[in-house]
Amino acid sequence: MASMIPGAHRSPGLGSLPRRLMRLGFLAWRNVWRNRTRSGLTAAALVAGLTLMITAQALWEGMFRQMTAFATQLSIGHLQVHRAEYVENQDFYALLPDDLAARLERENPHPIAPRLYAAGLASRGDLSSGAMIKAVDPVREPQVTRLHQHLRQGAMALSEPRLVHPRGKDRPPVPQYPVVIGPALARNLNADLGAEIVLITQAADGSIGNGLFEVVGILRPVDPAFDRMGVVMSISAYRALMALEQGVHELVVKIDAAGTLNEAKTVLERAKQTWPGLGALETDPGGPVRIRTWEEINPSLAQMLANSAVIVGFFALIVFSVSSLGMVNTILMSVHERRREMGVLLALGLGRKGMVVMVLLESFFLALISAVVGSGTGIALSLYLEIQGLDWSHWLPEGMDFMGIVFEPVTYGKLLPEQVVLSVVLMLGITMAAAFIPSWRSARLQPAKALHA
Amino acid sequence: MLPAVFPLPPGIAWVRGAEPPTAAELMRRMDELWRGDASHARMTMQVRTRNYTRSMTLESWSRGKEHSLIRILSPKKDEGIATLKVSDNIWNYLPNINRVTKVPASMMGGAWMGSHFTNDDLVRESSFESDYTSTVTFSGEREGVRVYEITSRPRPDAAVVWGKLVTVLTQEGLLPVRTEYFDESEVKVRVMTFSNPVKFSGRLVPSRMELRPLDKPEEFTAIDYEALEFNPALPENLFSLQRLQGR
Repeated sequence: MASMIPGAHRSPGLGSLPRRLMRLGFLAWRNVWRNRTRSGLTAAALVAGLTLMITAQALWEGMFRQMTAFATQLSIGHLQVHRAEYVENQDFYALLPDDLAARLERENPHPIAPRLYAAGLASRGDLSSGAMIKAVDPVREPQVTRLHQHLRQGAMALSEPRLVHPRGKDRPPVPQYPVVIGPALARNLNADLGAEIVLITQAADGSIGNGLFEVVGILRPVDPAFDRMGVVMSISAYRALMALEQGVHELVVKIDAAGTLNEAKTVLERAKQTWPGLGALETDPGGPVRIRTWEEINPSLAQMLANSAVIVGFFALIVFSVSSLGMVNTILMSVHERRREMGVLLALGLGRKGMVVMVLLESFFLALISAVVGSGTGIALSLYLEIQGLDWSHWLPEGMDFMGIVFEPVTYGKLLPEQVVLSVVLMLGITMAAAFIPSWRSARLQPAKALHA
Repeated sequence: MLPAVFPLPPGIAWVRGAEPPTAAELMRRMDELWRGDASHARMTMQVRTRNYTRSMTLESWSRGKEHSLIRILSPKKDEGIATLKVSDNIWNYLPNINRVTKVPASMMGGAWMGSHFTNDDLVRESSFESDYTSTVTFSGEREGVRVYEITSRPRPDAAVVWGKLVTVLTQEGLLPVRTEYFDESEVKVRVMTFSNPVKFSGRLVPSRMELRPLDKPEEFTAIDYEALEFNPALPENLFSLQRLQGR
């Protein structure tokens, strides 16, 4: 029997620490395989938990990236410039002068897209609806956002008007400008590609702005309000309709991939300060010029992303705790089953600490195997999601909108190595913590009693 | 009470009774003014806001409270634009593009023709008698003129946008002097003042109405009547979409 414990007879403390650990490890490793079914089931629970956590994080990461990209690339851009009164009260007359826009554009690697907005009435036959007009620069806008790719039908061809004769051939013609409208608006006005709509507004000089427009494109969903009322036109069409000859409401800035938001903001702030007309401009009722990042403009999304780490951590805690319950049960059973054997080991001088370490090592090896297998399956599943994605289009062909952000009907995952590492570490930690208490119980065995069990 | 159609400001053409009228009587008379009266008027509307000042000349026709047609005569840019009201519906005609559009219910709170009047002001036909309970809250002299002040509050199931109206009328001739409009929280929102009495078609009428929003004190919309005819002969189909576009 003495030979069962390698080196036990050689020295009282069983040798140096590393060698002791190796011997205990040897024992522990063999013990894991003694009951394959039980170990297998325990490992299966841990593998499932780890796979779930890795895949879920990959899915969430993919979703958050999609939302961020959606928010910034589609419409908001990375930074925006407004007058304070436009931000606070949507004051139509709080305008940014054209040469300020030019000055800021010189400092930015990409062109800066100007925008103008107005509220009005859109009408077709005897159907009418409130309209939110958004005027863009047909040359700059596609270089800054991807709105032009977000069409369900038609194209964002906004430049040249046609001449039409609504009052008969013998009267002078009237320009009919192209517009792109939101999907719900198209439905409410029963307007297809090529349809004519009338827009009526209150023009900048108080007169009644009115004009004929042709639908050349219908958008995919952007956000609920815009889908129902949005009309996109060129800035020249806007100026003709609204009797507003200069100035814009908004400048949209796209930054270099290499730079950061705050760096870009600093550069623009400096450029703004050096613009000679700034003092005079900011004393008019429009207020100071404000440069904001997309996170400041849409704080709900940024906050949601920041909070997600906490939520994921909480979720991981629960998942791993549940899957390590199996481990707790396994150790309890295995310690109980091997009472006699452990009694023998204790009688032979293994020592209580050694016993605990051996049992813990058994748990550790089981957890380690689960970690390897679980990461493998987790990574495989996440990569599948990255490449193939989850396709909802069968149920939600147009995606769905949540908190003003539209989700595409296919969600892709994004695997981050640090998330895998973190999940594994967390899983091992929780599992080992769970294993601790039942392991201690093995130390309380009394050899005499155990031997007679 | 803002007239449902511009040509008939309240308080005109009352016969002064021997007894001081009760609030109920006053209000009933104001309501009765509306029913069955037709009118044809020409007026100037001046709008001043922080960002622009405009002056328009308008021609209008009305029959009772249900029908009204208003056409812009000047300035050139807006010439020919017309608004037709039939019951609760409003249509606009735009001559530049030769199109008629209907104003949806959701836009009723919007400004009419860039002024401080709303589409709702044009359409609403609430009657003092049926929609409000009125009491005479003051009878006496103010600024040298003997006036009645009447406070009207909406009845529980009345479909009106105001929480309270305070109307001041002269005792002599029952000409309106001022109407104050309060919202549901009884905060004063706007004030309409009436001045410049002129005799049109034998009736004495305040020819100037000035509407001021209280949140923007430098802004106002003023209407001055240049001509006003009561009960003219009006063509039967005047208040129709065809006539809206036709002329």
